[in-house]
Amino acid sequence: MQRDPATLPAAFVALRAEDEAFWQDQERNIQGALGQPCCTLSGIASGLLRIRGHFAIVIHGEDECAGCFRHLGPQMVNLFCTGLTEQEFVTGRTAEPLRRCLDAVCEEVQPEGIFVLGACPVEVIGDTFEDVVAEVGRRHPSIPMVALHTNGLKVGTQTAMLDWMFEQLASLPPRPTLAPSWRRAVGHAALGALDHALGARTDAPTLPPAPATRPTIALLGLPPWHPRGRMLPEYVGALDRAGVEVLANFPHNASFDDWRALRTTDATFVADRSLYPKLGRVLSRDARPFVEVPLPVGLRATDTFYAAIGEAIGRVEALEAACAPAREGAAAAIEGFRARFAGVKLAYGLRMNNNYNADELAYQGTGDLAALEELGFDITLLVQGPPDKREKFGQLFERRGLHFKFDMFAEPWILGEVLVDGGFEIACLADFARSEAQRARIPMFPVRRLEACYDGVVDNTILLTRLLAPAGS
Amino acid sequence: MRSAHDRRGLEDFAVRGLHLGKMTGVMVGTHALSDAFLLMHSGVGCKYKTAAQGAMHDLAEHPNVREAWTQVSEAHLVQGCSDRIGPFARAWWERRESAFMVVVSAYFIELTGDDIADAVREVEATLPDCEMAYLDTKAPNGGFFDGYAGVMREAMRRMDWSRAPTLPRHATVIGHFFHRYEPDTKADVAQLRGLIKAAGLDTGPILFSGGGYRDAKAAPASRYVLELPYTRPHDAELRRMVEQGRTVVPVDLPIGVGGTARFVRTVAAASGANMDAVEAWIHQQSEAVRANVVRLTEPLRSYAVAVFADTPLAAALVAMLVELGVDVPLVGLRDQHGSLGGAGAFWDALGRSGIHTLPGTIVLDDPSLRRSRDALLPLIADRPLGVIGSSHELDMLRNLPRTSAFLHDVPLICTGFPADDYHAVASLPSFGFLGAATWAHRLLDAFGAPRLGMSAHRL
Repeated sequence: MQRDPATLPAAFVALRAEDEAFWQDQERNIQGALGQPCCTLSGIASGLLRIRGHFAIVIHGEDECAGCFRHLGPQMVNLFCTGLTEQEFVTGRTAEPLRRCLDAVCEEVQPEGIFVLGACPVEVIGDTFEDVVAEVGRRHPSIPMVALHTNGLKVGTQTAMLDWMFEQLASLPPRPTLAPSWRRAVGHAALGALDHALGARTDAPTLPPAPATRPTIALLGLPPWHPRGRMLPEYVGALDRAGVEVLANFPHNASFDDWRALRTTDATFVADRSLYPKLGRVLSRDARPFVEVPLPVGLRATDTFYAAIGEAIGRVEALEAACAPAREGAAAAIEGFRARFAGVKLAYGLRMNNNYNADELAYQGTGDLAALEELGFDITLLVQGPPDKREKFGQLFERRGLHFKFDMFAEPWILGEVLVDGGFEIACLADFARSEAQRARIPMFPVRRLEACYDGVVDNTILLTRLLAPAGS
Repeated sequence: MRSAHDRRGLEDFAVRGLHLGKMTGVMVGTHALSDAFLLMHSGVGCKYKTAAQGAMHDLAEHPNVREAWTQVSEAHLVQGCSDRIGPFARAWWERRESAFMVVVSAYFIELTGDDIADAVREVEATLPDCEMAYLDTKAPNGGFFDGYAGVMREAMRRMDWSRAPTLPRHATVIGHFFHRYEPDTKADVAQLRGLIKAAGLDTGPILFSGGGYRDAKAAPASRYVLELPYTRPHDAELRRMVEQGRTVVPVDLPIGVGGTARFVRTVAAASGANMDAVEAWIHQQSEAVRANVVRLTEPLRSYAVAVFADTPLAAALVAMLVELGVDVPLVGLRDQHGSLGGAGAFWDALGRSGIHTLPGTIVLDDPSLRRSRDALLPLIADRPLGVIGSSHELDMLRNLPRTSAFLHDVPLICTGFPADDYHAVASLPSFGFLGAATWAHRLLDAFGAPRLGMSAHRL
């Protein structure tokens, strides 16, 4: 609770008034963007750490900078840091530690690729570390090395960072991979053989024949898939039945091998293509179609998603047939949900998150709104930002064709009051705002919690029903 | 002659289990004072060194509600950017009315030669009812625990230790690692108070314990200062600061039955308490816990547990596991650059528990995650093994290629920082006699819980 300004010391009030010019200057930097700014070192390191594969990441900077991302993911054991000291920075002797580090990684880890990421102090002293990377690369020609001047000095957007990272990954020397359906079949056969050896099944499985070559596509920027008792993502199964292979959903479940195979696919379908101009240019070099699809969340968006893929690969009818049962279930779930909850007031938070997830960044974080509207919610957007910039955000929403009511809030910790004052019955907010929803005594689900595709529609109605009408209520 | 730094090899470059820097430690220290505020004088990436590292660790109180950054970018660097601290500090003070504002700078700003310390002093003079402290992050430094202890040092420097203590039977505690506001860490604070009371003293402020800075300033009134191990990066200075007219009592973490009893005895002996009464209390409490713990954990004796923890916690956990009869084939000490003493301090602490050797145990000092993995894999293949570690080590294990871990069922027990995989809903301490029961319960749960793993153990 802020105190009455009248009780503040006069000298402090005078200084705050003097600070106003500073704040006016600061706010000129807000261009009405819905995303938060980002450090490219933090973002790219976070992204690379999540990719499974035999490659290495080297942070070129001081140890502090190896802490600007969460230390989780399969690549943590292949993460290295040159650990530069103040003495090395001020004397400019930064090349030798990097050289030693890269040589050690090449010789002892023998990775299939190395990404060298610079940190802010390296940029401040103008270190041209790409020269060292190139020199070491000449000694180890079989290991592709990528030197990136990442840092947080030039405040950029999360989407620009992702595009840059994807461009670099897609630019690695391409290498075809086995058909994903064949990989799955081999995996099943191996598990079966194990069960057989352990006496858990009597028949010895046989390896199915390698499939005939089929068109292979890649998906980019879709929500992550959660199994929920299903063996495969709906789109993999549907496209398989329509005779199409799905390499991976990039970046969520794509391995390093998948990235290297991206340029060998027949087409890439991307949620919010406008975010990835650099990646688009890489793919267009090989004349690979780079096709826009919506974030397939909700019935209508999923219809459009499958239709776009079907049209691009000439399998509209086959895909419709493959999806028909799941679509029927989704339509019924929506009808049932609307009958109970149409008109429920929902608050939808924007500009709250900074987690580098492609599906959250797609369409500036508004990709789920159509699905929520389809479920009958009365939606109000709550935008984190200076309330006096309301007009700017209004114009932005208009440009995007978003007609929802909206309100601004300055700080996350006043959200509880905003939710109560607005009479909201449920909220979709950044996960860290859960305590604010609890203060307002309303259920909350995190941004981008909704599942994708027709199966996801059913899952989403179950989740939202549980939140709005807990068992026994 | 090339220095050790210049002779580094792969293991030296590989990222450690706790490769979080001083700035992250400063965040945790500031977060541990409920009326403090962290102002990062930094670029956008430094935001991830603070709240993001603790966001999934503390689900009770998100660290970002009391921190901000001065939004320094390249253009500001050229112009000089220390003058950004004032407007941010004043705006945030008006919003939060913090009693203590810690400014931590990013090294790339320090490189420009700006006198940040002086700028902070000037800003402090403009804030009503708020003291400010400044910490830099130039390398090399002691990393995470250096940052945590650094906040403690700055807070203590602002207390009047020159005053004679006025509370002859009070003990203040320094060097307690308070890292989140969930019931487990709050229960540890309650245990400390209970154990100090059992030793015949009342408890003054505990630095840190989730209480306020204003309340912490009463610390110098206490006649006794109990020093837990997390002062270590600045222990000499802190001792000099407090020792005049006070008795400083170094204590180990009160973990396990033996460790808890030793804590109470040490405090009681230093304060001249009635030792017969203290021993009677210890006997009663330890027997009550042992009755259940020994009976129920007997099956654990055929298992082994690898421990990855900071040095004081590792020593306390290993002593407790030995007490339970559990074999400990591998210990990884997680304090970066030995900031909490490393292997030397580990063996010293174990020695105080009466354990002078651990035949067959490998002790790795500040191992990288790679080295931890390489040390664990043969052990996992060899025998039923559980692993106690932070989310970093446990995530590394979960991400092992399936060819390595698929056939092995490894119980994982999460502790330390970050502990994203363990949250306490009830007041389950790790300290004290109740804490000994909690640890036994967690071990039993981890080893004995029904699982589908192919080599799932049966206790």
